[in-house]
Amino acid sequence: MAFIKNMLDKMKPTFSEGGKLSAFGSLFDAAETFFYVPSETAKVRGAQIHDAIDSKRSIFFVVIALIPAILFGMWNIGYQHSLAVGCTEECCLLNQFLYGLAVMLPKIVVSYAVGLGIEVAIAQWKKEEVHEGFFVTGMLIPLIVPVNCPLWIIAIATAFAVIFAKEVFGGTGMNIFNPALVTRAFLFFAYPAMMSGDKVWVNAEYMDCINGTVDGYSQATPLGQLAAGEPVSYSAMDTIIGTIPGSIGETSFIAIMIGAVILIWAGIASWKIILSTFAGGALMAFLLRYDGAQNFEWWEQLTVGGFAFGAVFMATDPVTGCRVEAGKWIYGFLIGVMAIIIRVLNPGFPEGMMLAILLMNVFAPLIDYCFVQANINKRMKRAKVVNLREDAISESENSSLDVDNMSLEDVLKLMFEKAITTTDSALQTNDPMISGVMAFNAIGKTYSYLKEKDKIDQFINLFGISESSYLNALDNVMNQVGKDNISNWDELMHSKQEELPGGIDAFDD
Amino acid sequence: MANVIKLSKGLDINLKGKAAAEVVNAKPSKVYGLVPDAFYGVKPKVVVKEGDTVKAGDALFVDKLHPEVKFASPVSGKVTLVERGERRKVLSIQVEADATQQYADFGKGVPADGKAVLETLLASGLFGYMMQRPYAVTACPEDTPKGIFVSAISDMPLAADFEFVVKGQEADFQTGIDALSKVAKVYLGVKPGSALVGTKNAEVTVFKGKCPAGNVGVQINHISPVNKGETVWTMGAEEVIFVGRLFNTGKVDLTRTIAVAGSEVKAPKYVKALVGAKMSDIVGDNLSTEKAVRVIDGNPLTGMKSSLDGFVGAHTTEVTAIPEGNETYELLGWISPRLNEFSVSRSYLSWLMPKKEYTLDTRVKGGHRHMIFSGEYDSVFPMDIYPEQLVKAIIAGDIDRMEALGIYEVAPEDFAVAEFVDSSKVELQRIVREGLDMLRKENA
Repeated sequence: MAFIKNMLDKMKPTFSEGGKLSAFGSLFDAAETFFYVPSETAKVRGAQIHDAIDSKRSIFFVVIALIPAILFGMWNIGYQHSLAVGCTEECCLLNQFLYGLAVMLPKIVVSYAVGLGIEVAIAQWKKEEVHEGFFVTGMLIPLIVPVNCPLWIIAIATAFAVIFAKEVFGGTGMNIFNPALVTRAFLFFAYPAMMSGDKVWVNAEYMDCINGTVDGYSQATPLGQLAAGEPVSYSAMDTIIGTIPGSIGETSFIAIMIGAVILIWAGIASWKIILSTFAGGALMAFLLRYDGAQNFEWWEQLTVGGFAFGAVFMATDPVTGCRVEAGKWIYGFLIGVMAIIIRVLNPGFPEGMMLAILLMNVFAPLIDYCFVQANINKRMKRAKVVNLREDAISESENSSLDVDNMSLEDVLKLMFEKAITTTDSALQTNDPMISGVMAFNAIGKTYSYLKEKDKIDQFINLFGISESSYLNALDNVMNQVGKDNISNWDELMHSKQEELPGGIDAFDD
Repeated sequence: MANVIKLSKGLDINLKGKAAAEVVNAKPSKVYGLVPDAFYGVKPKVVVKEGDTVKAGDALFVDKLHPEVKFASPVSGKVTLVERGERRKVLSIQVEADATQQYADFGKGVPADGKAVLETLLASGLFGYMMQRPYAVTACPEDTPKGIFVSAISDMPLAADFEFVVKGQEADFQTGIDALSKVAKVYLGVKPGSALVGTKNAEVTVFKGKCPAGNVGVQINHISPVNKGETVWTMGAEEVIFVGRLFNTGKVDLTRTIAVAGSEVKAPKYVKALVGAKMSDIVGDNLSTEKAVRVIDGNPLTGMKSSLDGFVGAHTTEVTAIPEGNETYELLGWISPRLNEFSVSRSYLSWLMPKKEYTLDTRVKGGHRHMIFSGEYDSVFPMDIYPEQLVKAIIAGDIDRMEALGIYEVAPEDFAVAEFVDSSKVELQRIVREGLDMLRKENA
């Protein structure tokens, strides 16, 4: 394979900065890293060795995990077509697959061409490498649209999603919403007629099977039937194997589960999200089933429509999902719950998975925030208690006290008592200036801690004093120091600062 | 009995070329060089001139901000060169060794008073080996640390095994601990089944877990986390032996038992050598010459690229050599099985061969990306800190958030394993170092 290397080496100067084709540098770079692992070595400092995993391999493993669903989806296009024209017996599996391939391939080509075209152009403009994230998005898009979705609509929706859902946020790794779902949402709201109803699920473009017309042939999905209040005409086995109409990749539960096994095995998708999504969906479907809201077995809810596909391939998008491990349980669970709620209780939307995931994309940072904030609060509390104890030690003359083993309340009490005695001695001393400042400092410190900790009420209850008497104590000190001196208070404080235990920081509040 | 702390997160990287349990003496170097950069956070002020004669233990340079912190010459001899780089930055101070070594005398026996211990450490230049958290820099003697932490676990790939290094020097190690315990409470982290579990005058904790459980930062986080406003000191376990030798003999003897390891070392073993010895005298002709080799001052996760002309850094406990790999071109690496590569990802097959020893080169093996996959850092970061969020706060330069997320508790080395496993190839150790420096400057 040395010739590829030679060819790339020969072409490199042309595409490099200053070369004739430098405008296509990103494209060349993408091709080069596609063929060969980059030979960049570690810098002088930092890790000198690296794991062999890179984002390219991880991303392509998602595409590999999609292959069962893609292949089954292609065959199912042909199968649904032959059902429509009534020639299931004459059509062999291969014919059905080839029919599906012919329908599907243009969609994949359009999705990749539009999406990658925009990505490459933007990468070139930003002088960055082309990120491989779109390889997954570009494959997901054809799989989550109905088979009759026209190519030009796919092109528009893909362009919209890549630009407005991804690149404006900074590209792969920075987006808030899953771009493939934004594509679908765009289609759903901009071209509703192309995305739902009974006419979009069976391809009727080619009449290669037998004479006869399929114009106006309609076939409802199980979810469509449910939304219309009709009995579902497909058996549970149909929905698990996937021989039902629906978006191209979503119909076969088995094919999706093969993908799930690949993703979980490779450690690329979070099993926590997948499991909790199914758990949330199962719980909600179970409740609604026995609440009487819907007359459809709860577990079948998980096999029909886009639930499984969304749970395995969309909810697990690491960029738009929860990033904190514990949060992934909540994130997935709520996706499952929301998807079934939207499906069952909202007659306007037969399918809820897309909206559930997009909604939770918005909430993922909030879930992360709660977990991270809990960690921060723990650290802040630890730091505050430590500082408080240290102050109590330095303020207290009675250093035999075991401050380390005292409760926070006891430490506060100790500090307050100390403040009172310091005030008293300030009133009696010959040098009211120094002791007054000391007393003020001691009181001010406890006061500022209390204010900070929002514990004044608690304090009042604890010691039976009021905030006003506390402030009075402060006033007394001020009087003792002398009103005349208040004008140059700052100056005085700073001059005495060195002599004070713990400085005068506490005055800042 | 010592406390046992089990850590579930982490990753052991099984590299080829671990040092065999055999010690040889290094060829004595003609010239020894002390590299100020190895003492991170110090602004060096050279106190010798070219042509001066020094004894082993005499100061070669001091910290400009704390002149009482001295940095001692490893040998006696003549100062031959003060090597300076751009903007007169001191790169190394080189001393030509005498044939017979003379040592400055600092007096035998551990003083009863912590202050006296500290003064001896400062005078002998061994205090310069003390590091501190926050900021992961050389310690400042004016601080009152809430503890001195020593980790006797070396679990980085190819690292020198301290249990082996300490053999025959247990008395010096104990004296070192005794002396430090006069300054502040000493905490010692050891691995399960360690002979050091009976060390006196220290709170011994056993840490069970994969790399980086041996990092002192991880141990601090589990024993007594650093809060804002607090300081802890840390010292390398072998440097505690330096301290022990000082108080047992009165001399500064900076002899280390350095592991010379790695797939490109012909016969990996331990070498007794002084701090500041020439790399070529330690590695010698023990290096494979078939392909381009990178000599690393330290282990492959936290070490620094060096060369045969370089000097062994002050904190270096191992010197490793691995293939550079810059001439390797792997076709379609994103899909090939690549059986010779090690990975945490099961998209490779290394998880099936846990005993296999790998020859890893220095390639980054992927393009630099934004953080894409979540939980990667977290799975190898055994501290009560959210590493990804902390790194993002540093990148954003958000000082309040860095503080809130626990930057005072970490050092760049704590992120080494995370940097290894990162599929987005973010330079975590550099980013963390920049964050710590930023905060140090801000709080100064």
